Amino acid sequence: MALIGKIVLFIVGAFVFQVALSGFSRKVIARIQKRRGPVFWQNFYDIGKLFFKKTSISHGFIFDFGVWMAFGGTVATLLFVPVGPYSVFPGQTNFIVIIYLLAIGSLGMAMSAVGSANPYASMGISRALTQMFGYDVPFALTVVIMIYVHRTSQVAKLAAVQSDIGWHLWVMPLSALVAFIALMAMLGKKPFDTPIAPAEIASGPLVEYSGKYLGMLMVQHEFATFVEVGLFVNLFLGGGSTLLIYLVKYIIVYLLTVIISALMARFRVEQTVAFFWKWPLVLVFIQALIIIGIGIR
Amino acid sequence: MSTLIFIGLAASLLIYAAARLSRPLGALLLMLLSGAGVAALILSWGKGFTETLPLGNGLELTFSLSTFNWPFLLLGAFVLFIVSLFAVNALKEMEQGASFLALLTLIGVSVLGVFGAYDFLTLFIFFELMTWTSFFLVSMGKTGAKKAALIYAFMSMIAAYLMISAIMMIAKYTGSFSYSDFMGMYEAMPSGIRTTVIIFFLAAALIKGGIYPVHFWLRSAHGDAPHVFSPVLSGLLVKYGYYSAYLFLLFFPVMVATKAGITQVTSTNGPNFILAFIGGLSIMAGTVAAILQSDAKKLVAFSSVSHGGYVILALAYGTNMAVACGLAHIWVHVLTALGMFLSMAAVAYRTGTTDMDEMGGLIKNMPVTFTVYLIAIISVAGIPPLAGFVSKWMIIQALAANGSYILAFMAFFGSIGSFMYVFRPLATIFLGQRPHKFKDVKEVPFFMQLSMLVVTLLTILLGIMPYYLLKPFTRIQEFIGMEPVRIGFSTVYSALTQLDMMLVFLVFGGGFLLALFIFLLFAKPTKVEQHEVYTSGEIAPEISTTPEIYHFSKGYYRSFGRLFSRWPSVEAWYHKGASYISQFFEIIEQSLFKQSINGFIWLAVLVMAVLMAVRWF
Repeated sequence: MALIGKIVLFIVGAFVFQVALSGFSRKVIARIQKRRGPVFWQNFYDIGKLFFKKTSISHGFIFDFGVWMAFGGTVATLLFVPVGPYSVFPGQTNFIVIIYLLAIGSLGMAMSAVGSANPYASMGISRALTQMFGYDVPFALTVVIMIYVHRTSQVAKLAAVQSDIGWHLWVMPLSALVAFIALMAMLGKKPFDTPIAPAEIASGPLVEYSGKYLGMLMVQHEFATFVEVGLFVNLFLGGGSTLLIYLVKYIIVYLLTVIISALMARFRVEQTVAFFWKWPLVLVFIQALIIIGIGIR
Repeated sequence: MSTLIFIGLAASLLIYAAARLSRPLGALLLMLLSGAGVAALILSWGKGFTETLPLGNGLELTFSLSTFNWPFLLLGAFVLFIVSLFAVNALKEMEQGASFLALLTLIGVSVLGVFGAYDFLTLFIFFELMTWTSFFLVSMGKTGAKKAALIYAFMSMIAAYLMISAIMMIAKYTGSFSYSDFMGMYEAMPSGIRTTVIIFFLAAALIKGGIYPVHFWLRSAHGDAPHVFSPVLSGLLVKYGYYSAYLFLLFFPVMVATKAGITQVTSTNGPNFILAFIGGLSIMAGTVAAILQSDAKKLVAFSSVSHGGYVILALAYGTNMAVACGLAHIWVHVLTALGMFLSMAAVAYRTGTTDMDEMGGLIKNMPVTFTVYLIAIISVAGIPPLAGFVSKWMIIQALAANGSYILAFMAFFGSIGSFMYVFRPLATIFLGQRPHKFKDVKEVPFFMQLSMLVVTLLTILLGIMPYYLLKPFTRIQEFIGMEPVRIGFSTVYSALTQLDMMLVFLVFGGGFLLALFIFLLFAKPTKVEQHEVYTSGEIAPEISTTPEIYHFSKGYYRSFGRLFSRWPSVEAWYHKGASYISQFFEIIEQSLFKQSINGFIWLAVLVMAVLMAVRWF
């Protein structure tokens, strides 16, 4: 029973926090562009409106099924990520499980989008997968270095160990830089927003969604954001000894991605891949050499 | 077991005769035979025996059923069982269906002989049996299959040559063909001979296993072989290569080392690292090549190259975690290769093509085939909670625990790249716009569905309960004296952490139900037709677009391909080398053997020169 309570608290808490924060980030972007921007609870309105719409369009069974899979996979991933001192399944915060379980959400969404039989959606998915191939490889390697050094692949332990040796941001600065760039790509922020690219391919994967489908995918996107930014905070900023510290770190990282994104133009997709396989990959290997050479202190 | 082999040989004749009468009958016979094999092996869990079959003249064939080859024998019987079940319906339109089934039975005999061998002579004889039967099987395919079969036979001959030289070296030194004599003399052998033997055998294993850079026969053999045979080729025959790699990387050295009292063998020494590196290269090359294919079967063939890389990498890496992973990955790959190739064969059975650019939207016609393919690719991509994730998790644990960054990079490269290539058939064959010509395509018949669903079910069950996937291999580890990987019913423990697949499955299932609940809570959606999509304000039927035009499939990853447009290709080098060689011989042919005036002039000049030289000195 306590477990179910914890699960509900995690899901609802993540939803409220992240949707409010993304609403606030719209305000931040507006101020950068010298607009007033919407109120910070605007996104709650948007999601509510979408869910309660009377009409929504379905393009067949796989279109629906993919959305359930995306939503379910992402919610499942959420429960494996430690938030500050809390985690739903202590001892099961396995990094490799998290990053592959996140993929099931992406796969579901990809399947559903292509199932809509719209070529724009298919194009967007092709770009998204290509881009993922670019950023996931260097990102995974940054974590492999950590796993090797600390002899554990539990995200909670990797976060806790930083209270002794200092944040990984200072211990492994090159890794942190690479992971941050990869985080931008994971979140689909500019300059890595080719899969969405509204002006080129009509919002790509999202082109056919409406009503509750779009609502569910918006919530799914917020959950995925919560997982991805959360991973960065846990792995590089030492997680949080209390919930508040964790959330403050989280807000800073998230707003940083939003602000950088507001100032950037867009890469082409193969430029993204070429970029990630050039500098971030080289930096990760340099970091690995440094760690092998001088250790972590 | 020798009785079984004779039964198998007789059965191949019987099955031929039966299949001449009716194809399904022949296939059912083969299915019963291999099904009995699967059942007998499962019942013989934990038992073992050795027997000899004298050939006269002092030669004898030795067979053995033991812990170390049990999973491989089971694998062979299982693949034949599934494929013959599939063939009950699939062979109807094939011209040489009867001989196809008879040859498939001979493959079954070679399974017994290769995996059940306990001496090198038996191993070699049955290896050759497999090569020649599969040569004929490949050549039964569509146009171009003859050439593919020739390439395959040529590569197999190189492998056979390497193997027989190594076996003769062993025989000359130890005076016998037996595995146990070889292990007894292993330490006493001069290191030069031992190294040569091992290198020859491993080279043969790489060729047979389709590992980069000697992988190229796989592309043509898979692409052009009969659709029903491709699952056997990828699910079973490349495993012969992995098996000989397993013998020489793991079984012999570790058994020998255990006798000498060393309990833990890790292979971080140079030669093994080189082999692991070759495995890693195979992962990367196979992945990139698979992404850029437009023929579904060739795509899966390259994914086999990539997965063979994982097996070789893990076996060569040699920590107990890596070894368990490498062995388990062989089984995982059997399941995924069967799933992918069988669903492609099912699609080809109904549509007559494997070209991804031509198809689309087939999920409406073939939902079962789609499900099978979906489950298979989730496992290939290593996404939890399926069997593929267990072995991916284990290899990454093994590599991260020892800080092998470059190999870890290669493993991640293959695993993330596999999302790209497995998604392409899903998107372009099963999803998207369905062309008019495929409107009336039907789902495949019952037996084909059944065989595919067995594979799918096993993929899911072995994923949730990794105990059954890993137990045979931890038992091998115990048998050869290695420290086994610690496993529970649904958990795997590594030095770094633990993995509970049941928990992952339940949490994902819970999330899925939550999504379903939220979905059903709100208003019912309206269903629309496939042409009713966003078209920038135009109405699709009015601007006379066809589904083919409105389906994004040609050049699905063209932008990714641009990255590699200027990269060298090993296959292009082989072609270049071949053309140089043929040019060289052409010069000789033209100057000496052609009936032309030039040839005679050359010959005359040569004779004159010789005469002059003789006179002069």
